[in-house]
Amino acid sequence: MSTLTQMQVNLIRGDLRREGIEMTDLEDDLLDHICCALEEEMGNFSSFEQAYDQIKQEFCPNGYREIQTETTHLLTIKFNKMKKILNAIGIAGAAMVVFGTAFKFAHWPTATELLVLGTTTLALAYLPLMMILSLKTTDRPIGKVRNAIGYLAGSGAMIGFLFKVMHWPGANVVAMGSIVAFCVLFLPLFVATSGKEAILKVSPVASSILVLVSACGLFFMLAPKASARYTQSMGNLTDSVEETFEVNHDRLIAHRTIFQTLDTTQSGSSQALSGQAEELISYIEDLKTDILRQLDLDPRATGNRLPSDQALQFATSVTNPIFSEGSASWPHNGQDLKTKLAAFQSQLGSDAGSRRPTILDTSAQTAAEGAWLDRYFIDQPLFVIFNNLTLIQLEITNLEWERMVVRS
Amino acid sequence: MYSAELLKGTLSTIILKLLAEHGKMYGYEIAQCVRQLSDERILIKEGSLYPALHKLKDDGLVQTESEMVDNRVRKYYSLTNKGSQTSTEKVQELFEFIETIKQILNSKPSFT
Repeated sequence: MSTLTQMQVNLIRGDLRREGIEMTDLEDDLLDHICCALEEEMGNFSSFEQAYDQIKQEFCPNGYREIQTETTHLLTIKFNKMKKILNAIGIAGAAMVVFGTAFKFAHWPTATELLVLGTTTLALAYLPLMMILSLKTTDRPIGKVRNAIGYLAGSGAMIGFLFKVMHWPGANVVAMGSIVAFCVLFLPLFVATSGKEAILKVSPVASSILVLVSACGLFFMLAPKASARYTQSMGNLTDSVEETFEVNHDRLIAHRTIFQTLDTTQSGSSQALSGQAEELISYIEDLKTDILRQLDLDPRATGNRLPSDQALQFATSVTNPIFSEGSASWPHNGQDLKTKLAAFQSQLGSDAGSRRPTILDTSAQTAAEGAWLDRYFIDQPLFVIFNNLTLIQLEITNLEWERMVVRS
Repeated sequence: MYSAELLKGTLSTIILKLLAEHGKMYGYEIAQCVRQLSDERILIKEGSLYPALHKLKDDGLVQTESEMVDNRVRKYYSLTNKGSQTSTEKVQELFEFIETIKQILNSKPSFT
């Protein structure tokens, strides 16, 4: 058994590197292994070169590179589990976005929650984790930069989509910025640095998620949009109804004292009636405040009115647990309003005689539109609910007017 | 000599078992040891030995220490605590597996 010279060792090391062994650990192992084999077998050969060729042929007939490939393969197998988890996260996120979009168009509840949760999952969990995985499994720096830009732009586009759907400020900046980054930075890098088959390497799950979310985005773009003029007129209508009630209410308050002195019955029931009317009006005013708070609007800033420039948005959205009959835990529910309104009318007595609008007929039940609550409140767009509440307030003031005129 | 396919699933168990008995070994030593113990019937190629060793190291079952020997680095592999435990389990599992395979191969098909 002989010992190899420094030169011979270096020769083998050079051969290993030339054949593409880049992992230092593996290089040390292979070098030592070949040297050991050579030292043992050298005696059977006439020259070092002959011995080396024979040993190399014996131990690694397909070249050293194959050993490195096999090692890398074994070391990255563990990411398969991570990939599976990632796929599950991605599929869950995409499903929530798809269902959220469908629910939104069907005006069903939890649409917003699904959209926010789904988009956040994709933008803040799925895509960043995919990016980390891709950075771990990509060797070249340019590839890392390319993938990072791609995933971050995807994340940004997703957040932009969420902002747009939720009508949050800054949506356009985020979405446009991401799309520009994707087209200007990612795509050229992708074309320049990825092989021909790169596009085929994108996993079917990842590409399906991308296609589904893009389809949802398209749906929102295709959704019917009203003209600015139509939106404006709806806003004006809300404002008019509100104003009519307020003016009528103010007028009523100003004349109450006069009418009370003129009350021919002198039973004091006029004050009681006024008290009840005020109570009911302010109860409805509280309902409006609740609705505005639910929409994250400041009731004080809007004068407890539905902001007229957003009337159209509320004309289509149904996100009101306020009037769902089952919500007993909610301080105000539709049943409460119904009971209070009926009590006020029975207090008023039936002798008022005049015709009353159907919106006051809480016991009405029609085949086509169902019970009073269903017809005016439950599952109605917020715009409709809000205006109906104001109409009821207006009618309460009218009833009190009428009663006072009759009694004086 | 046995086919590489047969050896594939058992190599890491063999390595763990050898390391459990010998303490620390370097790659060539492991290959030679297997060769002698198998009466030259199992020859482990570098192409399967080193990927397996690196995988075991990555899994935290073995650790390495380097030593300079004749102008080159020699890496000695030894079991970690986790590796010793796994070694026993895997050897046991392989024994049971061999018994099961025997059972299958020895069974006489009956067509009654």
